[in-house]
Amino acid sequence: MKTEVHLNSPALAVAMKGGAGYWRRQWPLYIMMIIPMAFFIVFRYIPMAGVLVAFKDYNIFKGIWASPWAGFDVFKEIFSLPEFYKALRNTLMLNFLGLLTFPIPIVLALMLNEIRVHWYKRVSQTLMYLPHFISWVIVGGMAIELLSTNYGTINQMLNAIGVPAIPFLEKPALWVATYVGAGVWHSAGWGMILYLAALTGINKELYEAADMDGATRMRKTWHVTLPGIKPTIIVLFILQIGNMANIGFEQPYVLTNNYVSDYSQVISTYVYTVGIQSARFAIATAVGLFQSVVGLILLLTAELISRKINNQGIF
Amino acid sequence: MIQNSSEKLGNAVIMILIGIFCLFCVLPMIHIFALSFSGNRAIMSGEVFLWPIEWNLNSYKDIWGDSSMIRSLLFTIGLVVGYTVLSLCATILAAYPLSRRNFKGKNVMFAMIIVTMFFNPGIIPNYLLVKELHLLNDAWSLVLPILVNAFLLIILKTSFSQMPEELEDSAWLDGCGHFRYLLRIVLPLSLPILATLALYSAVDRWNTFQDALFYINDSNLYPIQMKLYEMVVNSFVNDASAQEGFSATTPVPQSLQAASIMFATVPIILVYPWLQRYFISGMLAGAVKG
Amino acid sequence: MRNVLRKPVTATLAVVLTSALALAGCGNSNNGSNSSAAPSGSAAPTGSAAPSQSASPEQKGPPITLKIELFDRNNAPAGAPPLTDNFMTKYVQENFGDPNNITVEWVTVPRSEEVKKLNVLMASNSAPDLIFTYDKPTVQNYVKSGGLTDLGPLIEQHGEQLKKVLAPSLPDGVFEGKQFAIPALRVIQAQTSTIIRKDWLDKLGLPLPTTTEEWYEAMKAFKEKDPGNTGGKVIPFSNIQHFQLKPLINSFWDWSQVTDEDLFADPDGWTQAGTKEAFRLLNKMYHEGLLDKDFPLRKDFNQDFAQQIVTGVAGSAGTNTNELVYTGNYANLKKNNAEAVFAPIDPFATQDGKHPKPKYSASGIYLMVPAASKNAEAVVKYLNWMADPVNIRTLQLGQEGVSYEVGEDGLPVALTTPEANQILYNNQDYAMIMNGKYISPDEPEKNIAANATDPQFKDFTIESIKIGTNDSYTTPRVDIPVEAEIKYSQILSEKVKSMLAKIITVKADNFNSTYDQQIKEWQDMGGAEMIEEKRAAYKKFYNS
Repeated sequence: MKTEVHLNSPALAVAMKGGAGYWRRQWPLYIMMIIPMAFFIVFRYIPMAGVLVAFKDYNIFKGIWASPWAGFDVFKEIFSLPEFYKALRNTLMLNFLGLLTFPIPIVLALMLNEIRVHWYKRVSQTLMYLPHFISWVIVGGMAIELLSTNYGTINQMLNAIGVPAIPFLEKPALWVATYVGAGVWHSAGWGMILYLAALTGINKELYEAADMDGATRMRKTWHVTLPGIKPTIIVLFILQIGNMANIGFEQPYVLTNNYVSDYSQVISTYVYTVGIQSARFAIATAVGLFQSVVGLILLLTAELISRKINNQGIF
Repeated sequence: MIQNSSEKLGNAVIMILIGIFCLFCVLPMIHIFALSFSGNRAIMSGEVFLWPIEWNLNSYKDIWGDSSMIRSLLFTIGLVVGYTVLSLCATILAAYPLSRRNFKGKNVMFAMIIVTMFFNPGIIPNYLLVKELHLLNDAWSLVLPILVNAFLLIILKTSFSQMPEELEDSAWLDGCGHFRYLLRIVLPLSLPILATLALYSAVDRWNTFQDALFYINDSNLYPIQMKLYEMVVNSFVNDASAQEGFSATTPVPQSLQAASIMFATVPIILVYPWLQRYFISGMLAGAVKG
Repeated sequence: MRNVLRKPVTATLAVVLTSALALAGCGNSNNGSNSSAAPSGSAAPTGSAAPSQSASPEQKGPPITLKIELFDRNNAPAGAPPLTDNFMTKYVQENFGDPNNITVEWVTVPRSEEVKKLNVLMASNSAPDLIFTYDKPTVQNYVKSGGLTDLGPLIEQHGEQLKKVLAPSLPDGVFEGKQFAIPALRVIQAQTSTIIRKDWLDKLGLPLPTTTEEWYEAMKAFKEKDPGNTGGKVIPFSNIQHFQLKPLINSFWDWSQVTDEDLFADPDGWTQAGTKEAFRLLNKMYHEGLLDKDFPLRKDFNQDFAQQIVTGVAGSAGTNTNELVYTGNYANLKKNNAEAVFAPIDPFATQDGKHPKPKYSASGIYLMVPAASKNAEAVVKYLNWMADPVNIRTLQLGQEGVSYEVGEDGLPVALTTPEANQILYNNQDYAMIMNGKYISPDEPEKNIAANATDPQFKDFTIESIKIGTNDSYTTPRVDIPVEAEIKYSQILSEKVKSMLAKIITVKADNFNSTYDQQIKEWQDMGGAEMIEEKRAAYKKFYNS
């Protein structure tokens, strides 16, 4: 650990010893943690008993505790349904492709960072985060208006210049591309803000030094800017890996259509159909539990790998 | 500042690329803006694209005439401000200790927090808890259950732990305790990330309405997005209108929907341009030197 | 650092366990009241509450607060008073509440999330005394879990008028032999009516189609001659949703072979040979450009369909009966093109000239009383009060002279002034025992006429309803819950949507194989299991 370097500093020497010195110095940290930890215990851990529903023959009137145990029956049922595997496969596929777009907000932030015209920079930042405020319900309607094969605005424009229509929403591969593209459009500008904030933390002297060495713009970006925001990138990447098994409900739900449902049915929409709409809470909870466990395993794996490679992670 | 020609070209390319992306981002908003000023016949006929047809202000008049919309907007602004302040305080209180190098129990607590990101017990247990705490129908039910966002906490912790270690050591030597160090040095140096967190929290609270759907019955405490959602989504609920048949209500006109979207979105969009002032780079550099 | 990760997990587990115990504490207190209430739901309220009431029917009882669910649709027009304090609520309080020493309290529930919110309210034992939903799986779930009050005996005691008015729908509220729900009366049972652009037919000199053949020829003529001058954008047959295609599909079945059991077990007719021929026709029409080419992209067809109607590109379609009028789309079309005329038609005929099509059963939304409610008796009294024709009229139409007028034929007509809108915009949410405007049990003609809300299209509405009811049938009723249906019905209805896309758009050469393949997939996904269980349930119900 890095701390060894500083062991000769007197402050730390006292603190590291533990015992009375440690407490005299560090007690405020424990005071600070009281409110946040109380929050997590009350509002996150107590309701977590709700996941037991997955192992129960849940009756909403009896409550979680009085409902009879059902062991792993619910899981057995889920894992026996071919539709579940299809939904799982699609979820992983769409999330993996989403992961490939992970660098886009970073690239946007780096590009903005290079713009020297101040008003242009400020205005474009604000415009880029607008899509985040348009709800998916509305995006879904607009997607069909723009992209449908025979009547969509874009295809009509293509037809007008003699290009054959592109079935954006019909062919599975094109639909997947549309899905991923819509995701980028909706959230890249929003995600970029975090990187912009990280960029402000980079020491200006480093750029000055690089200028002295006559470094080009690309070299400065590569050797100064990127290392400066690396911790943020790593943290966000690990968190996204941990989210591989989860997928939002709204985006696939509004973008799907009857041509591509074999590829657009994902875990969240599947749970909505078989669990929520049919009032089968145990199914919804069990699938959620499965996702949680997978997500946690992925997160810890990513964390361990990142620690090995970068000596850095979220912990 | 001497710029050679290749750098100028690079600048131009970057500005054009960013400009194109911005265009994609802003067009749908302009479309909704145009709808909100258009006549319903023109909208239904698909004539409206980026410019209002049959220009009128009726939809906005309806909204301003609806006292519940105004009340809801004011309540939402108050809620968002209150939530953002409290949430930021609680997040800072957790992020600071967790970012210290020498804090026993740190990893246990941090692991506990990470775990909560993954397990979602579903709405019924959450509702039971809020009910037991007597928070139903209370604005606190829209604040306390989401007080700390673990994701934002991790971001802030990462940012805090990037501060030069020399800073803390010298502060300690100056006889500065944790509270004073946090207030006097850490927070002022973290303004950009704090501004970002404030933005994320505020927008989150502004856009979230699912909790209000369950916890709030009093229409005085409806967040504006919840009213909007009901208005827009109800006209999409296909099954419902078929089942209701002859008692179906006439759908809310699209121009009114669009105007309501503008009304409920513009205030929160304005937050970012205002917060941009805190995105000044190089603050840290000066501090270390001095 | 690497070992650290192992430690937190055990520590975390300990915390989970302790907090789980904490929840047990508060969970138990809830369950206590629930479990004592649940059994009483099936039997006790009648035993305990009824006798005291019959002893002194005239006397005011002790003060009661009666909580009633109310949909919040957020569609209030500008200037309207709050949902829970307006003309309707005051009318209820003054005319029902005050005389009975009852304070009526309204509990608003967002319309689009009603089922989710209801589940939460029920699970936390805080549901209102009178609840309702259209969602049958939810009702079945409550019945199965013992969460509802048996209202049968209370209706016998206090529901004379209610019984009379709801006579056609009450049987649908019986589950497992008990009256666990009171279904509202669906005044108009017509479900689907086909419509066609009459002005286009007139231009082409064609009569209103009375057979599938004539209809098909008209569709071809619409496409080829484009009488609407749409510039080739014409969509002769729109609204390709399974639900709206039923009159067409039904006309291909061999009805001499179709039993009531078949209708119950397989209402969509995937096992009927004729269904395939119906789809063969649709497939052919698709490739001839007579259908909406992008129909599989339309997940919620209603919006697109509305647009196709209003822009005047749709030639014909199956629709919810009278949908064009109550959505305002017909009126919008007229604004675009004053000459446009839609006529209801009934062209799809079987070999022996019948026009079979499903219609709704007489029941609408399900009204229920949670087992935990102590006010089941007051609820029944309230509904009985509501069933009085005067009260129904007021709750549906408001105040005479302000929000409605009585026309020459003696029928009330709702006004469309701003004042009237402020009273009426959610009127159907107070008169919950009715789906649709209602005049009296004895005069169905008047009931139909009362639902022709827009005088401009009165004839269209009446004709649509007639056609929607012509030769129509209701699906037989079986009150035994079918497990496989609860399990698979949602996923199968999703499957049907994608089947439609595949079957109708496939190349004609591959039609047979694709159709058979899709039916097989449907069967394997639970369709076969569902049909089998439904047949068993049907036999059990009707043979015992």
